[in-house]
Amino acid sequence: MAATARSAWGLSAVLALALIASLAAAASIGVAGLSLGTVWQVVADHLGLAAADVSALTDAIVWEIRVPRVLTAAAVGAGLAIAGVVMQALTRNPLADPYLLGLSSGASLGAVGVLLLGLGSAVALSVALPAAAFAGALLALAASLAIARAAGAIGPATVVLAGLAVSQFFAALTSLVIFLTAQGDSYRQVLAWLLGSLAGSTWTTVVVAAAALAVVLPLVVAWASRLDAFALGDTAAQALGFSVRATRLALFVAVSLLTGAMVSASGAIGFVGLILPHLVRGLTGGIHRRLVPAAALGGAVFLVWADTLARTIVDPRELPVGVVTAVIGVPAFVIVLVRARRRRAS
Amino acid sequence: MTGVAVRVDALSVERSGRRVLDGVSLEVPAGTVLGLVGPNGAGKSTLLAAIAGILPAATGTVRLGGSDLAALGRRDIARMVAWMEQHSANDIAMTVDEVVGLGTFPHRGRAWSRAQQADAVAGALSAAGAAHLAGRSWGRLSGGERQRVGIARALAQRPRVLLLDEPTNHLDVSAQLATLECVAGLGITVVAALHDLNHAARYCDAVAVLDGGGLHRIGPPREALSSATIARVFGVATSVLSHPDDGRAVIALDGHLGGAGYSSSPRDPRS
Repeated sequence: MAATARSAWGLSAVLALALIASLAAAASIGVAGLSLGTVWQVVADHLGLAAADVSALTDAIVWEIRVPRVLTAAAVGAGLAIAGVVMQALTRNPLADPYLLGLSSGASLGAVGVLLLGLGSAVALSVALPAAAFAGALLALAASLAIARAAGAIGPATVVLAGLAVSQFFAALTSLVIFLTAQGDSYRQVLAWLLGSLAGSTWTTVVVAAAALAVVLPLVVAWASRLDAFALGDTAAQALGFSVRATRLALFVAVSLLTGAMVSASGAIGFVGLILPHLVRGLTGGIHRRLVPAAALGGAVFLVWADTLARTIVDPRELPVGVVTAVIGVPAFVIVLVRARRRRAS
Repeated sequence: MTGVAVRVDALSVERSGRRVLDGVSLEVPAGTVLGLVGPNGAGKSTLLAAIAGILPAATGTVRLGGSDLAALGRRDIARMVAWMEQHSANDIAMTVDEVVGLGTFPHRGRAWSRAQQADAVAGALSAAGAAHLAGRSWGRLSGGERQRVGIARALAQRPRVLLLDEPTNHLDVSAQLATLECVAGLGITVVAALHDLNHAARYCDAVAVLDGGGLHRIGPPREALSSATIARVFGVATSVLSHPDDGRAVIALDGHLGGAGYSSSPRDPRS
């Protein structure tokens, strides 16, 4: 049963508060035991609100490591959830998400390919990395859809199988590139790109991920009604008076941009784009004007906590965050799948 | 409404360079139901898509109540023509009201208030005989109920012309008849592609028989659906009987005639 409009907006408000609380709490959890008060002091100091009386080390841990990390996690989680919502609507496929359809692997390959070029300047890298990841995501999406089309109908199963093939292929190429080029711990790098890790978060990754959100989110919100209309099928949607083809193309590009930016910041994190839209849709219903904001906030909260778990559970070592999202995400996905099937059968 | 709702004049349509509709001319008087019949690939869906402005005319014109479709914007067309979707397998997480509300898309904007939106949805639901389904979850509806909601969704578009592409697919026989009765009773202009010749004979004011992208015949059901026409276009033998109650045409299927006239038959001599 879809919820009423009012309770859907209530959910978004609750999630927004939960996100703020989660950011504050997650920033104060970690190897160096810092209190919420200390974290707040450092943040207030940098925002020019109040002078902090903390050591330079504490200041660096909070402002250069923890805060960028939780903010990157939030932005990436929101971006992946939006990407999942949009892809599920455009393909009318409950299994569509940037990870399963190979976009994330394609983006990883693009990003790693840039590292291969060995760009010296940090500024050039911070632009080239997301740009190449975007190109890789776009290429992978085009390949998945082309294979699915060549294999017959664009049904849910065909698209996922095509995505799986593309995803495995790009993941293998990514590993190959890393092993050919990496100095130091190549296994760790392979894991970080293919399973996702937020350990490399900096203020640059915050800016890249937030900028992609700032570009794509307004478009998705403005076209929320069009996303609703895709549920009717292409022809009936087209007869409502907008170009289905142009809308789909623009949104596919937007999703690739989002995935490219997120993967360049954090590697290929799976299951956020798949699970969050389903969980949130169960609460808000399928109207995108309400679903998109709630899914974005839910994705942000989810990834902030998944990452906190990843960096503390086997302390002092770090787990790739994709391990956590998969361990939580796969069982949740199976439940969603079985429920959806039952609903259809009844 | 009086006059001609849809006027198709020497219309040809191409799909990926191939001519799939060739020189079709026909008129649909306002408020009548036109059935399109013909074998698969005859051009029924293409003709519907051209009337909806979805496929452009290669040559010829489509006019809606006097205006040339080619001169109208997408949104203007969407306010005049609605296309009813087929909800066979889609799983939509929306309520019935939300699904019907999608139909108001081309009217939304500054001029439409929230109250008008709600009125349009309620009005469309009751016109389609689906008022009792308001507030239900779409996923829990039966096939026939979904079809009724689909009609309401299309009506919420406030169209002058309603297009349907095989609306009875995947429905049991009672839902098939309920859907067609509902559509025929709306009083608006309807163009429907139909598979079942008896549905065409029973519910349509006129029937257009398409074959190989061309219009083979058009007229009242009894004239258009003659035994000779059906044999030539579908390759089946039929006896056209008269219903004992009202004398309307009832088509009894007598058997398959083999390859002649049925180009996609496996016994095509060219293969």
